[in-house]
Amino acid sequence: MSRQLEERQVRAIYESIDTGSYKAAVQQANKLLKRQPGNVLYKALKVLALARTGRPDDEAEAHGLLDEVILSRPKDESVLGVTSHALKALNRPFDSITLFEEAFKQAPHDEELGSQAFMANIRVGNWKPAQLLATRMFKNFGKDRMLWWAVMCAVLQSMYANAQLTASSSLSTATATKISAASAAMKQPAGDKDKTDVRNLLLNLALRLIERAPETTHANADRFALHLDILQALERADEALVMLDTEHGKHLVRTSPVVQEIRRELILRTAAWDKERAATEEAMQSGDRSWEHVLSNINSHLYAVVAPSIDTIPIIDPGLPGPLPPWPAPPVPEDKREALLAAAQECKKYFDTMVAQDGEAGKDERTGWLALLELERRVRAYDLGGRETEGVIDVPELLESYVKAFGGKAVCVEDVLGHAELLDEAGKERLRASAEATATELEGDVASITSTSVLQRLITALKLSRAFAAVPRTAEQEVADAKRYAAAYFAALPLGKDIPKTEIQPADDLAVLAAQALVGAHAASQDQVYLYAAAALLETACSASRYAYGLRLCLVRVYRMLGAGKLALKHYRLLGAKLVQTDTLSHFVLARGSMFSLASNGDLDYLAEATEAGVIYVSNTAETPEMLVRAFQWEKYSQVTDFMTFQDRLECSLQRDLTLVELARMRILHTGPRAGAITDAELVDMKGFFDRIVSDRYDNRDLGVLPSLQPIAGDSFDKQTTLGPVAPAGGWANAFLKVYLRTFVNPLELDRQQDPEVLKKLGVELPTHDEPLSERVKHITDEELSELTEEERALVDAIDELLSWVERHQTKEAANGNGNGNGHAEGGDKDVVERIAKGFEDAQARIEALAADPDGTLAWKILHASTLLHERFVLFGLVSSSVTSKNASKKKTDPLAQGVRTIRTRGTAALKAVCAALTARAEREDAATLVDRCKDVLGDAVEVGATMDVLATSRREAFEGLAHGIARVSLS
Amino acid sequence: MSRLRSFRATDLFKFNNINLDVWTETYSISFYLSYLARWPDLCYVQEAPNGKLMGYVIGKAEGSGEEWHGHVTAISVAAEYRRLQLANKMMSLLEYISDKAYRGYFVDLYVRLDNKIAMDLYERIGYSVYRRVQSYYGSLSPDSVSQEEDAYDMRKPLSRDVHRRSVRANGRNVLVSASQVS
Repeated sequence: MSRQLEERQVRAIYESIDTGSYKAAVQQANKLLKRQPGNVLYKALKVLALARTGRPDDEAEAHGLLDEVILSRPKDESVLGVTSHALKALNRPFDSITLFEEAFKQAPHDEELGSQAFMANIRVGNWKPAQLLATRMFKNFGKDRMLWWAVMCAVLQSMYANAQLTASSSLSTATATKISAASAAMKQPAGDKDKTDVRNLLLNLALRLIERAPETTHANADRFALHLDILQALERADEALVMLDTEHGKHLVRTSPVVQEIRRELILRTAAWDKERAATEEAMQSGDRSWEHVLSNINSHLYAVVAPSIDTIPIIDPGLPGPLPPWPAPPVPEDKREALLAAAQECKKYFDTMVAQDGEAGKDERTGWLALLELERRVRAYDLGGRETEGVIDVPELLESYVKAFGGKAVCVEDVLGHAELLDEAGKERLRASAEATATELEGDVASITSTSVLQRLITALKLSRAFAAVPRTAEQEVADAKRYAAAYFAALPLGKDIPKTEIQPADDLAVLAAQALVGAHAASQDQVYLYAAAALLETACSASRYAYGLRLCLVRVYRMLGAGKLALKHYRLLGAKLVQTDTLSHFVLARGSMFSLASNGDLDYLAEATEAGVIYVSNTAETPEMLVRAFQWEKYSQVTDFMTFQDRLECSLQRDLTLVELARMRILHTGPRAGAITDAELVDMKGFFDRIVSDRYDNRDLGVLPSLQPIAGDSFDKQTTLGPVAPAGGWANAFLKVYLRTFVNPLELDRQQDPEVLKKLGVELPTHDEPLSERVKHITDEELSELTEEERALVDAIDELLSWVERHQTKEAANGNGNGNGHAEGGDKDVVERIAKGFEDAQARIEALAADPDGTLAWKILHASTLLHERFVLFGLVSSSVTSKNASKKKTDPLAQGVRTIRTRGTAALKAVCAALTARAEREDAATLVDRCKDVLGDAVEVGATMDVLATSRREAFEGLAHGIARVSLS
Repeated sequence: MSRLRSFRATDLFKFNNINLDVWTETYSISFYLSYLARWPDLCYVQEAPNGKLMGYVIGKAEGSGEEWHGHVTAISVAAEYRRLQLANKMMSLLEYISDKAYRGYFVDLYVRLDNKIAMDLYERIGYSVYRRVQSYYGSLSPDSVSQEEDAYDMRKPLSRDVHRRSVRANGRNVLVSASQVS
């Protein structure tokens, strides 16, 4: 074959792969391999094509062929490139290291190959080999960046020196756990002596490496910051400050936010309070009112009297709420109490002056006010023998004045409520009364308000009046308030008539207030008529303010309570949340979302949403390590640990586990009791997730975007609209993971450990447990149960009873020589069968009672109970199908088979009855009735007809759809 | 009253109140992290004392010769924190770093023709239209009435642009196609 022809054919394979024609690419590669069976490039191309088809058989073949390619120790650039892609596709990052290290060994003067080998180590967090390699490369190639790579890798190793590494059973999770452990160690002060020695040894090694670098290499701010960081970690902060005091250091402080941030940490550790006070006052005087200056200034006053010990000052963690979290106040010796209070008074004087001067200058500036409140918070955190309770400022007085000054800004309410803990009951009442007086004055003639600032004053006053209202509230009080807010809303709406459609209406918060008061009325009375009115009002407000996400999220919550899952999903989708937002926001629709999915009836909207929400975790695995590599390439060392933390928080996200469980539940309700309903990969993930302890999960769910304007002494809007006792969290995920793993995975497979060689490479240890996983999945703790609804508990109990019963029989059969049963159902069997079968009938009775009371029962409860019963039946079907197929040749009197038949018969009857109840409930769904019930709640101001139409239709379809779905999947 | 600090990767878990705004696009992990991996000193957030994010800016440095400049890729402030001068402060810092650390000639940004509120803001802080880029945005404006996909490239000169070449009096009339801009 001519070279030209060969090149053309190879190019054709690349093109096939690029265009997604993997099958064709495999065929083309096969053709070439026939002629040249040993050609490594052809093999590598075939591997890549096989890896991308997505078929398990192809993947298995790809793995085998890939081993051949790696063993051939390729060094050709094309082969390395293709193989590297194949390794990524097959998730074999460690073999990437072997591939490039072997190639680099053969071509030690090839700088690019060395860099590739280095980055392959970075991708998986192999810091020590990476450090050694970078050091060697610096010797060979003399490039500064290689030296700094080695420095960074030594620092990363020092973090691990203090970490206890553990791994769970899946490879990806093991990697993540490793990062998590290091992140945790990084935040902690040094542990025991041996570990501290190792840590210091590595940090000193990093320092020695830096000393070998030419001075000029410090030009890069990130290198400079890394140097400072190392000095700080070695408690040599004074030296770091000397570096900052040079011309170059000063320049970087001015031009690099990273260096600025480290400088501030260093100040805290060197106790240079006088200097810091002067610096912050100079900055604030010149107009820089950064909150950091305020905090530093307060610190400089208070810590000058009693300095915190260095160990109690945590490294600033970007994951924590607040820029500089309030640290534990250090103990104050008795003889320093006076001095501390005097220092606080001195500080107060400074900010009092700032407030006065800003006022005189007519500046719209909140800094001084908030600084005084922060100072008060700090003072009260000390133990001053009781004098701390007196504080240094009159908080109610200050806050009342603050509202007068800044009530026209949307942020005012947040500022006030953020300091509510500084108020006693009388103080709260004073603020409430003051806000109420303002509200009464302004709402008298809302229609004449022509400025958004005045409207905002009214909104602020109403919000604060409500926030500080006494609880419990009666339904009548809440309805009266809702009418008041709604009246103000409609009166103020014309103010925004000319703003662009893309802007949110200035009056929106009044609609949120009204809707939340109605939800409060429901909470007080359990009368869902208020929820209907809330839905109608929110729909109206959403149509006037299309992009007001706060309104829409309230509506999502209300529709879910009312059982209108389709409408909830529609409004959620209008928010346009995507990519990383799915981790933080999808809980709004996916929490217990399977009850709304109707996947059993072929409606795949919710299933698609759950699938989509899972994509970000795959992206994280694929993209974030590459970005870590980039941070090294661009030498932005300040980003390295942040990227690792980010990756870890997504990898071990609670929402990831919750999404996986919901997806599995929707899937089995869609497919019915088929073995392949949940994929092997999903089961591997479930197994891996399960071994994470609850505290290893990160709860990234964002509830801050859901407005809560309820009285702060009572339940939040979130709590009032959560479906179930609490929102699903780690305990809920664990309970369902246990049920599903036990149902879908046989005990031998559950107990199979990860390859010790792989774990050794990872440098991690398996967690030790007293019991194997196959036993641990059998116990559901009280803590886990506390997150479940009654129906969820019933499912968990029923499946536990079923599986335990089957397992007892299988154990007995195994002991009896593969089983000839005694031909009779034992007394125990009868009891078990009765309990399981009756469980179906009891649930049926509960559902019938719920469905028969449309006015008294929130619709979600009917959908939830019915879906859970169906899920129970499908899981029963999965377990029983394996029992009946194994026992097919046995006599009909086999106790297991007999029991299964009984349960199936009675379960089927229960499901049929539930379908009938759902159908009857659907028929009772009538928009006109809903309109009649809720039209008077808010009066004529709100048009309820259109909302009740869509609500009734949505619910009718939900009840009918569920009945059809159950019939389709389980009764046909 | 806020803390203007570096944008960190973990801020992606906290930026919903900003990104649920209709004008603010949410991008892939790679997008944000690739900016942080290269220009962390041009990416900042404004953080409230209670830790909530109030707004952010993502920028980069690009171009060559006299086109070497700082670029504002995205800037947004959450609705509840508007009218607090937060965007001005973020832009000032980005301009300062573009000037002092990168020695750029100007800072530029793109804005939809129909995003009047944003354009007013940029003009107030010294930006002016340098040229109109046709079909710059791949999708229609969220305001479906105007169906606008063109962008104005707005620029503000830095100290290195001694001759103020980044300012054009008739910028709105200078049309270029999207393929002609970086």
